[in-house]
Amino acid sequence: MNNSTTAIAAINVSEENQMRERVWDPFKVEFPNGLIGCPEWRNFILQPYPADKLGELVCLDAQGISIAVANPVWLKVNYDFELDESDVAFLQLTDVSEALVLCVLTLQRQPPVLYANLAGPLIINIKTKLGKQIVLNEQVYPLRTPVLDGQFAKEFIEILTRQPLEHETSQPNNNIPFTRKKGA
Amino acid sequence: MLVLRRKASEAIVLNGVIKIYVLAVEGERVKLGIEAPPDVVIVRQELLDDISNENHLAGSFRAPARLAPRPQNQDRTGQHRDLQALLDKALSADENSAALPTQTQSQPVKSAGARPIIISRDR
Repeated sequence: MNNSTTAIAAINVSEENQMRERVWDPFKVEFPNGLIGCPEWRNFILQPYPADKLGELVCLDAQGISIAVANPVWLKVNYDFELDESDVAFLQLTDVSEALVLCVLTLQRQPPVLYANLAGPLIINIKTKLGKQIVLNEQVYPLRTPVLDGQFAKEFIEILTRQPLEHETSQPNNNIPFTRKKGA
Repeated sequence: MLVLRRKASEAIVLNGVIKIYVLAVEGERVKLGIEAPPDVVIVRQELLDDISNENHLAGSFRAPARLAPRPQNQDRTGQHRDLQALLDKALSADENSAALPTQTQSQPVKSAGARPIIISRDR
C-alpha cells in the first residue's frame, strides 16, 4: 500500500470517480478518530437512500445521533481537493475508486434552509470501511453552502424527519443531545 | 502548557521538523510563518470549532422531530422516493437560478478577515 499512497492522493469529485452512482446496502463505518469535535462518535451505519444521492450516518455510540449526508457530485459543487498522504495512509486507500466523499448536511428549520458542509467532508474507504473527516480551506469550500431554501427546504426537512429509522426504538427518548442553534 | 516569549523574526522548532516563525507583531495580531512537512496538517482552531459545531448541529437533526408523535408503519421507500424527487426537482429547476449553490454564490458563515497564518510547505 505504501508504494501507491502518493499516486492516488488527488480527488476530483467533479469527475465520475468515487462518486459515480451506485447503490449499496447499508454498511458499518468506523471513524477511528470520531468526527471533528465529536471524538466519541466513532461507529456508524451508513444508510444510503435509494439512488445514492443522499444517505444517513446513524451513530452507534450516541443515542439519537444521526447525520444526513449527500453526494457532492449531486450537489453540483465544484469539489476538487487533494488528500494528504497521512489521510491516504490512515484510510488505507490503495485506489481513488475506494474513496467515497460525503458532505454533512445541516437542516435549519426557521427559516428552512438545507446547508452542505464543504469545509469538512467525510472520506470513507468503501473497502476497509474506515472513515475520516478532513478539513479543507473554508475560503474555497464554505462551511455552509446553501443547497435548498424556501418551500423546497421545508418539504425536504419534513420528509427527512418524518419517520424514524427501522432500528430505532419506538420509545420516546428524552435524553437526546440537542445543540441546535436558533436562526443563522 | 509551555509558554515562550519570542520577538519578531525569532522562531521555534517543534520535533526538529516544524518551524514556526514570528514574522511580525502588529498590535493585537501576530503574524506567524510555519514550515512543516507535507503530512503535517495545519488548521486554524476556529475552523475546527466551526466544523465541530456543524457536526453537533447535523447530528441532532432528528431530535426536534422526536418531540412530536410520528406516524408509524409507513413505507420508507416512499419517503426516500419523495426526498429524491423533491431534490431532483429543486436542483434541476434551479439550474440557472440562485437556489442552486455554486462556489461563487455560496457564502461562508464567517467573513474572511485577515489571515495571520502563512503556510509554506516543501512540496
